[in-house]
Amino acid sequence: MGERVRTRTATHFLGEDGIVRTILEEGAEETLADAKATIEAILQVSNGTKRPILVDIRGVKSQDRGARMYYSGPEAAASILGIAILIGSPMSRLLGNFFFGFNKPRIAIKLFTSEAEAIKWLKELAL
Amino acid sequence: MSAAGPSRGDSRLAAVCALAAELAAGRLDTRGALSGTGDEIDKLTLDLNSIAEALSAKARMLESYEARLSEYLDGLGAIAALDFSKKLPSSGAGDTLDALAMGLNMLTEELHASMVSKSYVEDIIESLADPLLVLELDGSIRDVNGATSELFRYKKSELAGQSVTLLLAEESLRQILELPSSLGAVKNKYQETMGRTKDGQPIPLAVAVSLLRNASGHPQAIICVAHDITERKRAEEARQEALLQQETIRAQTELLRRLSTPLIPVSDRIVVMPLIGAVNPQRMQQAIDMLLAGIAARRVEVAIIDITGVSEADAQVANGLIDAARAVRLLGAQAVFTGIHPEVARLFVQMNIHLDDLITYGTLQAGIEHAMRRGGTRR
Repeated sequence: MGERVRTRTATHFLGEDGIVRTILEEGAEETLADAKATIEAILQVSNGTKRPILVDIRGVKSQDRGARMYYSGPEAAASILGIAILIGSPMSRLLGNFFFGFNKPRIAIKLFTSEAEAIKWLKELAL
Repeated sequence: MSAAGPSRGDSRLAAVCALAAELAAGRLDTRGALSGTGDEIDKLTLDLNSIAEALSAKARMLESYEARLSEYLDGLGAIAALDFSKKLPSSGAGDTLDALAMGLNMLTEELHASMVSKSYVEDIIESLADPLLVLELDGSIRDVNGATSELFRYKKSELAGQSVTLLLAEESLRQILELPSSLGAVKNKYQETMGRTKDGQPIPLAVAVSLLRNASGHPQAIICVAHDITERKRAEEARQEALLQQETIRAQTELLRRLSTPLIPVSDRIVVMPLIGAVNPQRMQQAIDMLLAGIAARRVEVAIIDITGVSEADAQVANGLIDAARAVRLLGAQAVFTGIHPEVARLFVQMNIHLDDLITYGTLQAGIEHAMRRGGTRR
């Protein structure tokens, strides 16, 4: 496991399987500044390589429009190979679906309720 | 139960029944007292108390849900009234209602953003100085901006649903309708056409036509931006007219020039240039140019410059004549002046011009005879 980087709303690290994990804190309320910090942290732990990311948003409480726009924008697309979003709570489920519907991200992205399924998909994506 | 009256056990049982009745009636704050013996009635009372607690908790939750839903309803009302300032609170429980609040908050943000951008675009379109028309794919008018109403003098309501041929020539419509069928090969078209105001006034227009496509690339509407080119057309016509006028003047000037300095061949080797009227320096230069060009072209041996008809002469003219004689000589020909009248003769004398260098004769006839004698008779 690579270095762990903590931002205000999440923890980020590179797994031995080459997948970056971003785990949102319980009750995380993400703003644009947090989204920028997240992408920066992902870049940092990715060691300069575009990697698949597993984002666990099960603890999210809210995310503002600026953050959603940033995640669906060119900066994220340039840094990330694809995203598996792990959802569970009603809020994370809603946020995940909302992100799909309204923000139309430019990279491969899929919602999962099972971490194993998410990792399997990310590995196929990285092939 | 004994015949003497209810036993203690019976009265406790009655209390349990009363507790159950209270709970059934919705009075959930009621609790049963325990005897402390731990007997079956106590167990029953405990169970009923637990049920009462659970029901109370459920009731409180329902009450809380009711209050939150009521708040969300107010939030929806605010959104419907286009008040995007209200943000629905989260209870912090992360439950379904919190998710609902978050969803409504996000929808509000998106709606606000899209309405702001819609209003922004509408303001831009409305502030355009040029008419902008949004057409259905059959060429009927869907929408226009204020500049369209102003230029064509129709109200917006009069134009909605009408064919664009109400405003533009029939031929334009044909070209406009070609665009959707071009399947994206042609992005836009530019045409100059004639428009017509409500009161029948023609307006020359430059019209840029493009397609509005949806996210899947299917044509949704035709966008026409028209520009009134009346002033440009007027300027073009004025420029054409000025060019024509300039050309006419130039042709007339050339004709006059040729007429005022004719070069008449008497034979293959003899030419005569009669100068008539007032001779200014410019005309003198023209005469010299024409004379030299004629001499070079015809291999002339004698050039007779007849100044019988010159009405006025000054020092510049006299110098010009001398220059002409020298230039003729440089081309290998001989210059002969005829018709020198007293005024010119006086000028030559005043200017101390050596007449020995010039061949002069009183009349044109004498000059021609001289030239003939010199051998310039070959024809």
